[in-house]
Amino acid sequence: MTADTQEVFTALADPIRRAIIDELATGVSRTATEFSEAFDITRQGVAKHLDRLAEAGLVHSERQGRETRYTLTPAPLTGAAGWIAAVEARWDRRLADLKDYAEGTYQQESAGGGNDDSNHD
Amino acid sequence: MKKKDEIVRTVEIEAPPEHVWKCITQPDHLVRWFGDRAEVDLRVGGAILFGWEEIVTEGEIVTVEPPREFAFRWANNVDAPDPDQPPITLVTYHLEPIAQGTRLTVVETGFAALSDAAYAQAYPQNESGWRVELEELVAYVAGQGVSLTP
Repeated sequence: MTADTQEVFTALADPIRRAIIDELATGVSRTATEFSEAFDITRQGVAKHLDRLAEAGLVHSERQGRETRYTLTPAPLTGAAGWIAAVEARWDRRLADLKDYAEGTYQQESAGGGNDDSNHD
Repeated sequence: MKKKDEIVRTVEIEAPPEHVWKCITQPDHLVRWFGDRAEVDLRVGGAILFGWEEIVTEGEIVTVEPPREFAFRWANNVDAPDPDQPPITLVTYHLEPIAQGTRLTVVETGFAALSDAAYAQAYPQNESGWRVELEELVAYVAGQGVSLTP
C-alpha cells in the first residue's frame, strides 16, 4: 500500500504526467503519438511517462490494431486511499523537515550553540 | 474500496533521542518544522494544539514517556475529506536509540473510523469527484516543493 501510494505521488510529481492525466480526464483515449504531438516531446519520452502512470495504476493501455490507446483508471486517486496517501505524504515531508531541523540544532548544541537563539534546557 | 486504518512512517535522525524528544514536544521547536503555531501542555491529558495558516488542529496528549514515546489524539482536519468532521486519530511517536542517533517511527491510526457514508460523500465515485481530488493531490504535491510549471 505504501509503495502504491509512493508510486501515485511520484507519478503526479511531474508536470507532463499531470498534463497527460488532465487530458485523459475528459474520458477520451489517446495514443503516445498524439501526446507526443500535443506536448511537443519525443514519443519515447511520452512512452516513459505513460509507463510510470501505468505502474502507478493510473492509466490502462489497450492495443487497437497497430496502435496502443491509453485511458485513465483513476481508482488509485479515489476514496480513502487518496486521502490517506495525502496524510502519508505529509508525514514524509514533516519527518524530512524534522530530520533536518533536529540534526541542525543538535550540531549547533554540540558545537557550543553560539548561534542558537533558543535556551539550553 | 477497502479502508486503510494505519499509517507508519520511519526516519533515522543523527541526534540522540533526548534531542529529538525536545523537537517533537516543545512548541519553540515544533514551530520550526511542524506548524506555524504550537501549544503543548506536556502531561497525560494535557491539551495540544497545532496551527497553520488557515487551520487549527486540537488534541489531547495520551502518552508522555521521555525520551521513548509521545502520543496524542487529534482531530486530523489537515487532510481530511470533510474538515468540519475530521476523524479523531491517534498519533504515536516511538523513539529508538540507534548507533547513528534515533530511529523515529510515527504511527497514525483511526482513519477507518470515518464512516462509509462520509467517504462516499467526500469522494463520490465519479469523474468530477476524483477530478477535484486530483486537483487537491496536485496542489499537495506542489506543496512538496515540486514545480507546477510545465
